[in-house]
Parts: sequence; structure tokens; C-alpha cells
Amino acid sequence: MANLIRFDLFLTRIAATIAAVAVIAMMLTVASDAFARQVINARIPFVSVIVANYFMVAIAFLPLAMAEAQDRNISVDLVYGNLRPAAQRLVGLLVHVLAFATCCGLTLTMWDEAMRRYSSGSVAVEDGVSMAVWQGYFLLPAGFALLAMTYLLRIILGVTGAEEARQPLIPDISEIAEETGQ
Amino acid sequence: MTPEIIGLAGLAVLALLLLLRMPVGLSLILVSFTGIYILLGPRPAWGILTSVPYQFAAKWTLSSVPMFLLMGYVCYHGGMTRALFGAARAWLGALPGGLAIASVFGAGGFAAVTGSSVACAAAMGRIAVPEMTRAGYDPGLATGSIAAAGTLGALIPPSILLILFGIFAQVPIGQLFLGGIGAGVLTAVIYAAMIYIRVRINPALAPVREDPADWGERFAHLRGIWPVILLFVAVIGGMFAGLFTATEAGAVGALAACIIAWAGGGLTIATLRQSVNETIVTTAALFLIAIGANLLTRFLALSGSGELITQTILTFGASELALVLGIALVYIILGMFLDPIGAMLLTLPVLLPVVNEAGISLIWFGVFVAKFLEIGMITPPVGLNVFVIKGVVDRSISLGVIFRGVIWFLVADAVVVTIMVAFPQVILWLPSLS
Repeated sequence: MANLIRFDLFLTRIAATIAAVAVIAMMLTVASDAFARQVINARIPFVSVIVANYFMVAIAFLPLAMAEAQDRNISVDLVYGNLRPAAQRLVGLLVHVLAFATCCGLTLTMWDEAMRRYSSGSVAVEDGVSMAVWQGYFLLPAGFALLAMTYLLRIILGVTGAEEARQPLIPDISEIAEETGQ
Repeated sequence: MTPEIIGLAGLAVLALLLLLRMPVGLSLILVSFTGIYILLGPRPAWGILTSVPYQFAAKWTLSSVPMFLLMGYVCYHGGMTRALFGAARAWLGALPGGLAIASVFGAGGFAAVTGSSVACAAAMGRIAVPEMTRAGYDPGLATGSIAAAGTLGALIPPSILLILFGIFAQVPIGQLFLGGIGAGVLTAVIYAAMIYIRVRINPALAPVREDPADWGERFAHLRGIWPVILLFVAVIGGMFAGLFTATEAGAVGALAACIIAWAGGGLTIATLRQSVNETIVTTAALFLIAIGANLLTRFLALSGSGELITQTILTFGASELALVLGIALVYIILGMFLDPIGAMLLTLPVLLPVVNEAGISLIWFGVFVAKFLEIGMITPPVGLNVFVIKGVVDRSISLGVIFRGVIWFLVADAVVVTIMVAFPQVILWLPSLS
């Protein structure tokens, strides 16, 4: 079981690292473009296309599993927190099954769409010049598949009665920061 | 079963899933997809599910959300709050309850570089609460003032809440930011007035009054807050001077924050990693909800239940005031249990058509919604800012003490909201100038 968690978190961290690189790259690209426009009246070619179709897609979807692993997906604790432990386990399992099914559906449909875009060679056009953007479509099934995998892991953990099923798989990094006095 | 009934049943199932603690984003997606599937069949349902997530996220304008988040996190981890509190203390510390008033204005200053009220409360709480405790301040006043002042983070620009509202409601973000300044300044002034009056009536709440700082010391402290002033002027000033768009302002601000924090020794590889991690995780969690809310909007429109709800609300809420009060009540209740951005995205698909139909200014409404959602951040049982303060202060101060301290600020908020409703110009004056 520990190996399964390690494998899931390994993939989750790789996806999150790509998204982190995208955040930094987006900051540098957009800021450079803004300065270039003001100072030398020039723009970085395709900046809005790259930001929208690559960086934004990577930042929005690749960290989904990381958000779940850190228990940062937004949810309501009103009733759940007041349930008895046995009921919490049952409800937790039901919710994880529903979430897993939803993510599987999203993964499949996003994969089909990505393959369709790949086959048609989807492009964005700026000033009459085209740029391939089909690659970005594959980031969606990747993000949702990883999220589905995390929920599957939680289902397995829940069925085997492991405590980790309903706890963060990775401690919240902001809590670590607080502990170190940041 | 009529389409309207299917729509309303969908909302009931959504409420059930949320109560079972299913993540808000996935609940919205599941219910909307299933609803459209029942209404129109498999092909349109899969078609909408396929197109919406990419179309929604792959937007140039939305890039300001992760960029402003990054800017706020870098400022937070870069330790820019200490100087702000020091300056506010030098100028206001000699007043009755001066440290608490200084905390409110210090938080207002930090709000100018962060879009999150939780970050604002946590950052100011670590510095100001121990100072007030040492000065013998009532623990409720000390902690309550910080929890409440943190809410300025989502009112004073940049504000993630207002950016997302602007994108959803198709209102210029710059105008919303200007409206947010009015609400933020009004809130800070009313909070400060309330602290002043309470301490004048009961000096035991804040027994020690600071010696007034001389003018040289006051201006010396102002020099210490140059990074925050520089950032605010660069980002917000640059935006309104037309140097860059709201989208670019986020990236320029994030880069400037990194450079300033690095120059001041506050930015290390570790703090940058933390800031980036929090940025991507928060963005992904928010966008999942936003995509779900986008799908829900389509489901409600296709079923006709959105129109039904709009007409029903307009029939019952005959006057604009009744409608506004009804919406306020909804947000107070939701804000008690839900993350503010989640609550906003969840409700906008239903409320925006109602507000549009009633002819209420969307700029005013956006700021009004942000204010109410932030009130939810300090109301029990789930007042996130209160929990954040509890996490950063002495363990001997209980949640009950903090919530009791916050009650006075809720009274002040009632005054703020009354002024916002009675005099909408407080919000709309600055946007009208641009």
C-alpha cells in the first residue's frame, strides 16, 4: 500500500512541478511582453496564445491531484464533521467513488478531444501566422487521470480501513511554513 | 418531468452532494452533466462537457488570477508586513486602542499587495497579536481586530474575488478594483472608529497607551514601507495609467514582488517554492469550481429553471432593497460554511440574471458580494480568518474568545453595509471618475 501511495505522489509531484514551471514562465513571459511593448514598442510573438493554450491549461489542470493530495479542494464540512466515525467512513467512500467516476468521465472525454485535436492539427492564428496548440489539449486528460488515480487510491485505502483515506496524503505546505515561523 | 423541475431537482442533488463533503467543483460538474444528459441526451451532454473546461481555462484574461495569487503569496512569505505594522504603529499607536487601530490600517496596507484575506489575517496576526498581548490588550479585541482586518485583503485591490466576479459577470476588473477601494477604506475607518469608541468607554480593553512618536520617527517608518507602496503604485497605478492591462498587471506585480522580496532578503528558494506551490494548488482548486459553475449556468439556462428562479425571486422581492437584503442573507449563510470564492461561483449562475433584471449596478453588486462573503470569513461556525488567527496566536486564547472579539466588528460591518446600501456612491464614485 505504501508503494502505491508513493507511486501516486511521485506522478502528482511531477505534474505539479510542470505547473510550477508554467507559473514562473508565465510571469516572466507576460511581464517581459508588457515591458517590451512600453520600452521598444514590440511584442513577443504569440504571447497570448502561449499563455492561454499552454501555461494556463497546465496551471489549471496539472495540479488537480496535488490539490486533492493536500486536501485543498474546496468542500463543505457542515454535516460531515458531525457524523459518527463509521458514517464518515461510509460517506467518505461514497464521495470518493462519485468523484472517481466523474474524473474518469472527464478523462475519457478529454482524451477523445485531445486525440481529435491532434488528428486535425489544431492551430491558433495570430497576425496571419499559425501556431500548433493541440499539445495543450493533452494536459486536461493528464490532470484528470491523475486526480482519478488519487481518488482510486483513496477508495482502496477506504475499503481497507486505512486512516489515510480521508486525510491529506501530503501535509499542507503552508502549515509547514507556519511551523517554521514564516 | 418538466425541464424546470429537472433543473430544480439538480440543485437539490447538488446541495446533497455538497453536504456529503463532495468537492464543490466536481459536484457542480457531475450534477450539470447529468442534468444536461437527462434534458438533451448523451451527445449534447458529452459535447458540452468536452468543450467547457478547455474553453474556460485557456484564456489570456484569466492569467491574472494565478499571477495576483503569486504576488500575494510572495509578499506574505517575503515578510513585507512587519514594516507596515511598524509604520501604522508610529502614526496611530498613541490613540486609545492604538495598536489595534494600527493593525487595521497595517492590514489595509498589506491588502494593497495581496488579494487574499486569509493571507492578510495570518501575516498581520503573527506580528500584531503578540504586540497587543504584551501591551495587556483584551485578547478578544487583539485577535478580533486582526481576523476582521484581514477581510480588507479581498476588498482593497488586487482582489481575487473581484477578478473572478468581473470575469463571470463581464464587468471591467479595473472598475471593480476602484469600487473595492471605497469599500475597503470605509471598512477600515469604521473598524478604527469602533475600536476607538470601545476603548474610550472601557479603557481596560487596551490599558497601555503608546507614547506619541515624534514626526521624524513617523516619517522614518514611512521609508520602511517603500516596497509595499512601490508595488501598489507599480501595479494599480500602472494599470490605471494605461501602461499595462489588468492581465499584465498581475504578472508585472508578481515579478516586482519577487525582486523586492529578494532584494530585502525575504525571498529564498524555499519561500519561492512555497509561494508557487500555493499558487498552483489554489488556482487548480478555484478553476475546477469555476468550470463547474460555468456548466451549471448552462444547465440552469437549458432547463429554464434559472429563468423560473429569477422570476420567482423578482416577484417576491418587489423592491430593490428587499432583493438586496435577501441576497445578503443568502451570502451570510453560505459564507458561514463555504470558502468565499466557492460560495460566489456557486451562486452567480442563479443570482446574476436576477441582479441584471433588477437593474442593479454590477460594479456595486460585485463589491457588495465581496463584502458579504468576507463577513462570512469571520462568522461562526466556519470563520476561516478566525481559524487562521487561532493557528498563529498563543494556544491559551480559545476560538470562543476570538469569535466574541469579532462580534463587535460584525456590528461595525452592519454599519458599513448600511452605508453601502444607503449611499452606493461610496462604491461607485471612484469607478465613475475613470
